Amino acid sequence: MRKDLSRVRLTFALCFPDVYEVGMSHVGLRILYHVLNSRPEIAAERVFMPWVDFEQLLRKTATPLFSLENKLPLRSFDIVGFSLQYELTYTNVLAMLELGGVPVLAAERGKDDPLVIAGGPCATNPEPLAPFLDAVVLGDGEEVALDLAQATIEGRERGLPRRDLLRRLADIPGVYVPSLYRAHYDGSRFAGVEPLDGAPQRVVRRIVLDLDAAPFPSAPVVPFVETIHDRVALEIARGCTQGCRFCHAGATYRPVRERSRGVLRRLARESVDSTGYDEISLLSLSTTDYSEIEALCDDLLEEFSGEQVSISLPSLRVDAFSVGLCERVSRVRRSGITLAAEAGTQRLRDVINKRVTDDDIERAACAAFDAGYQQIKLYFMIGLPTEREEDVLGIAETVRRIVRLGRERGAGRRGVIANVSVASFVPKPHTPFQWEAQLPPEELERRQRLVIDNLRTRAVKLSWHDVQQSRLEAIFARGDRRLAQVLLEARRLGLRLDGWTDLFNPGAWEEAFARAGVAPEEYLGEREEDQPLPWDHLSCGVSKDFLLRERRRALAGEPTPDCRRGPCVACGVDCEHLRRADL
Amino acid sequence: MVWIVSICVELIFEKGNEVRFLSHLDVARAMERAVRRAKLPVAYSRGYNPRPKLAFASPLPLGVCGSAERAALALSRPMAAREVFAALAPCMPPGLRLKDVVALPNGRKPAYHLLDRADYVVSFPAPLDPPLGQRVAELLARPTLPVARRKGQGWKTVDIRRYIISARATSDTELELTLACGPGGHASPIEVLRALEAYSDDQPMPRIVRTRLYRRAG
Repeated sequence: MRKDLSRVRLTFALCFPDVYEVGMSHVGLRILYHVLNSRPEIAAERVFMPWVDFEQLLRKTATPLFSLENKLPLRSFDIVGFSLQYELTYTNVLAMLELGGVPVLAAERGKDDPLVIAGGPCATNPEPLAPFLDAVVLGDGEEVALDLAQATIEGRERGLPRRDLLRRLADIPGVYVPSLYRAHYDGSRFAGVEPLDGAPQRVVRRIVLDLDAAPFPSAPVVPFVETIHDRVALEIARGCTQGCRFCHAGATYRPVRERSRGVLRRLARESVDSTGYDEISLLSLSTTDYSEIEALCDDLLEEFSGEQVSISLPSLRVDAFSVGLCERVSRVRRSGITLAAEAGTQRLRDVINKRVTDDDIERAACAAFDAGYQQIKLYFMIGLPTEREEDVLGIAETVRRIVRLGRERGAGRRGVIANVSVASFVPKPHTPFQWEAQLPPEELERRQRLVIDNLRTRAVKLSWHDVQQSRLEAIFARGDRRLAQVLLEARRLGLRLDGWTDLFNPGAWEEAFARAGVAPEEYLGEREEDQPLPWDHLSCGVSKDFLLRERRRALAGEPTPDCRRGPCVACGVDCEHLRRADL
Repeated sequence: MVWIVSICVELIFEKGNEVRFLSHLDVARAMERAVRRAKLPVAYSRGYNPRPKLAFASPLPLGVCGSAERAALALSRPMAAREVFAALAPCMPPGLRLKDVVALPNGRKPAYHLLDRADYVVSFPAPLDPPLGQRVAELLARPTLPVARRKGQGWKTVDIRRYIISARATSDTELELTLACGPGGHASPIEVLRALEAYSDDQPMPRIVRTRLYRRAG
């Protein structure tokens, strides 16, 4: 979409701090692109992180990083917004600002410089990026992006000084202006933030309650090159109440909201017609928890019968029902089956509140093999709180059991039956595990090896996350403003694209920490419960009380049921009240 | 790909300058989506991953445009070529323009494996020094022209001199080439330009357009 920029009142750069193929797969970016460009007075244009070769060319030719649509340099936009999906893209945010000619520090931006804002999951603790961001958006972006745009248009057209405009933005619900808060430290310990200039004590996340009324892009840009998720992405629900205690999304997207079947059928039809895609992926944090999932699948199968359109269900619950459903929608093309058991023993699954039993896992796997799947994918995590040797060995044992079941059912022929991915636990803010330590990388590696050594079979293909990357992720996930200096030093050392394992340089990161005078270990240990946390002034809805209760239950090995199927767990998100208020 | 009973039409399309760096697979995927958007009664391949039956005459090298590229589209029921054109033309993505749809005798799939040569027009942004005409004359005077091509993990050397059917500088900035293509051996226009020392990272890139594909006589 290329608008005539002389006819708009606001230019908005939607920056994704990773390469095009990753960014174009992101539904949030598509939604905001659609929402902003629906307004005739706004032009929203996409900007991605250039890969190494293009970055070199930009520097060599002294060309500022520009948008795809009107090739506008980043520095010429009114608002430059970043989507923060992953902590290891923070150096990309800085690199993109540098390449785009925008002063990296918010304090150094002047009247003609853009407002630099950010949103997305990592914005729930944006403190490591605080000095670089003029404003941060908490929660669903559909409405607040327009509020911000409107306030900026008015402020700009009335010639409001930058500081006054920022103060005004801070009054928009869900908007956090870091420069209006001063961080305090007690020696080397974070001691809380103090709002300045009458800024709100707490910034509360924005929630779009009615997904049916929320705009959804049914005619997205269709990339020529193959992207990571090259298909129609249909968001069927937002939020999840399974309550896995390590899960950031589960804690920060409450309450659960669903799009209704009729709307989804219409959106699916429009999307396929406008894009020509032959696959629809039903997106949500837990697809099979959608209340009418079977009826929805039947609707879509009927709508697209004879059109060779396939339907895929990512984020499956671990049970035979989910696998059965997956099989039912795979009439045209079969997508893979992934079971996220997360932990290898019942004890540890109770700790993390992943309420599936060995029986569930085995039945799900059998259902897949019986349906003719030759291999399945399994996700596990190591380094979870309270994890012991037997839990780690339990992962290998669970996998071996599944392989045996697969063999008995003729799966895999003589090749791989289970693709096993082992991630390392990263404590995330706003979750019941926000106080927990991350194990040192050497110990994580030892546990990885324990899994590897006990799974030496041709039927298993193992992959694991780089422990140094997980360590950095943990540091920044629970970081405070002192980490900004580390990011600046990292940029001076030329670091960026740290999420790409082949470009990741742990040695240089150590150097960046040393130069900034920041001890990384301070961010990795266990936090005390009465110690202020750098994100305490940012509320995602769930209360700290609930998180603490959940933490205690975790350490006592007590699961907590899903509130959609059991009693209210008093998480702090007043969903009944929200719904009533919305009527 | 198995061709079951279906009726083929031939699509004549342009791969424009703005999409010259799209790979053949990207072009193929974009065309498949266009065909789906046009809601044509296309025939699908059978098997694990059904795809519209769309066969391209000859892949274009990366960086090369085409003004009359050809592809065969299989339909599950007969449809007039002009109707196919009317439905498909507005659904084509930017840079890929549908120029014509041609009915084929008996709806049979065209014998693309019989294509054996192609015309190219190369335009340089500025005259070369030494001039193009001189370079071409010297090139054609050489009895052999070995170039290195990737093969699997390694490299192999191919003599492309015999695949240059004609080369002619029509002005000091324009070159016309006729090169062999197809299973009998081929030369890429980029290989020829490299041999002319007229194509490298340090030079402004010439525009290369394939203008026509020919079928073996007889």
